Amino acid sequence: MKWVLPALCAAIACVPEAPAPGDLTGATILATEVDTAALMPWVEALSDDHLTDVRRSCEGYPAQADYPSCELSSDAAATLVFAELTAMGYAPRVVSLGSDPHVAQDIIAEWPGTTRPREVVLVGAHHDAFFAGADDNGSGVAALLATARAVTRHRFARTIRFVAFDLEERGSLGSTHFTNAGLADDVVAALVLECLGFSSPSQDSPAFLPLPAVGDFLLLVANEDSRALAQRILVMNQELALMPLRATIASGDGAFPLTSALTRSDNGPLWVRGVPTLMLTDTANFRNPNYHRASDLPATLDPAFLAAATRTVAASVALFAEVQR
Amino acid sequence: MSWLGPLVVALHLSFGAPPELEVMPVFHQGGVLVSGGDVTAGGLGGGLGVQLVVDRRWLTQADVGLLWLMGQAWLARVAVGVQRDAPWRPAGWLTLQTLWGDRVEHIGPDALRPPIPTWGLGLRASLLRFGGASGVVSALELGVATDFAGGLWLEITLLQAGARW
Repeated sequence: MKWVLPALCAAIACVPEAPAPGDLTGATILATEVDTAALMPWVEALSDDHLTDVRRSCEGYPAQADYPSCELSSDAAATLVFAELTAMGYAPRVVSLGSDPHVAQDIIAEWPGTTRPREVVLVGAHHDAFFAGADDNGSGVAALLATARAVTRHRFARTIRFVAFDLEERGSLGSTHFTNAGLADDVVAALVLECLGFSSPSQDSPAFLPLPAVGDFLLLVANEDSRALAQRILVMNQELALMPLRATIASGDGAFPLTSALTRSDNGPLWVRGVPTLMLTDTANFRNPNYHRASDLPATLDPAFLAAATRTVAASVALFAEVQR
Repeated sequence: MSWLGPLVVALHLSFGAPPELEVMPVFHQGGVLVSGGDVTAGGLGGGLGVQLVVDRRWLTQADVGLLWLMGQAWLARVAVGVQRDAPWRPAGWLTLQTLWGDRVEHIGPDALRPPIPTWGLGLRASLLRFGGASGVVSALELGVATDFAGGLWLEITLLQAGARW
């Protein structure tokens, strides 16, 4: 019966084509050069920092199931990210946004573009976490750092802006303030890294989001503005075979009542602002039973999965920022 | 899809006397969820259409509707069915329907988007359906359909009413 739909489609509807990915040489190089050996040590260091750090105020955020609001920390992780970026040769800055007791400390570092420096490719990951937060979001921060390090060996047409957002676990406060301050208005493509380290033989699917039964893939979550970005990464992956990828793409800005789960990370404020943004994720609580629990520890992660996800991030950055050769 | 009505009439004519025809404008409100395949779509809303009754038994209906909650989606349906000719007027329908507009697409490694629009072919049961001199009213109609790509349409019509004129 597979012919029925194409036949109907041919009569009345259409199957839109995927966009060409562009030159993949730079993507191949960056994917190869990512220092994946550094990933797990970073995840472990971030987790240690979270476990010993002072907890953030949970005023106004009552604890709920899967939301241990008073177990959130971010200060020590921010310090680590700042120090690592500085050691790589960046000149990071801390932007304090919001008001007490929920001031967000976003860390920003840029690698200037050469020919189109005013067009920015943003790579973001939130550095705040509940408990140790190995997957959520030590894995995302580690991938950000590894990509930032790989980038320093090359020049790009566009500027690459790395942002470690604070207070994602407080309703994406850090990225909301960031976008409201106009700090993403020059972004032409954004990658938000949200839980990149967990794989599983089984995968849950909520009703609105049918997913494969095996949790071995990275999900690209897009909206109308970032649809082409997702398709370009998928097409790139056909050539580079980095890892299993899938994409879920919401219409419009994606902020609809039945699809609100797609906007609950730092991609949400960027979507609403009209910034073309992809969230890359292992699907978090739809796969990881340790989500927002004290058991979200480095030992539960799949280092090979995290390495593949990081290579995908680096290759995507090279694709969108355009490596100068 | 306006060929469906004449088709029913033509089939009838081929078997005998001129048919008794009744045309009713209808409105409907309810919800649709398409899920499980490469598209998640639907929402709650309502719409308008036309129902043609042939010989008080055979039904055809074409209607359009607008759904919210997952953006805005246009629903267009055509259906043929049969009803019981009595005050309690349950009916069964074969439906062909499309959804246009906002939706969530699930794309695999081939990077290809699902076809536009989303199609469904299925059945609908109208058990709580009653008719009289002034029209028909039906509540809690349930429908199910397939998009032939792994997706399932679940449909509930909370209320549908048609006025005789």
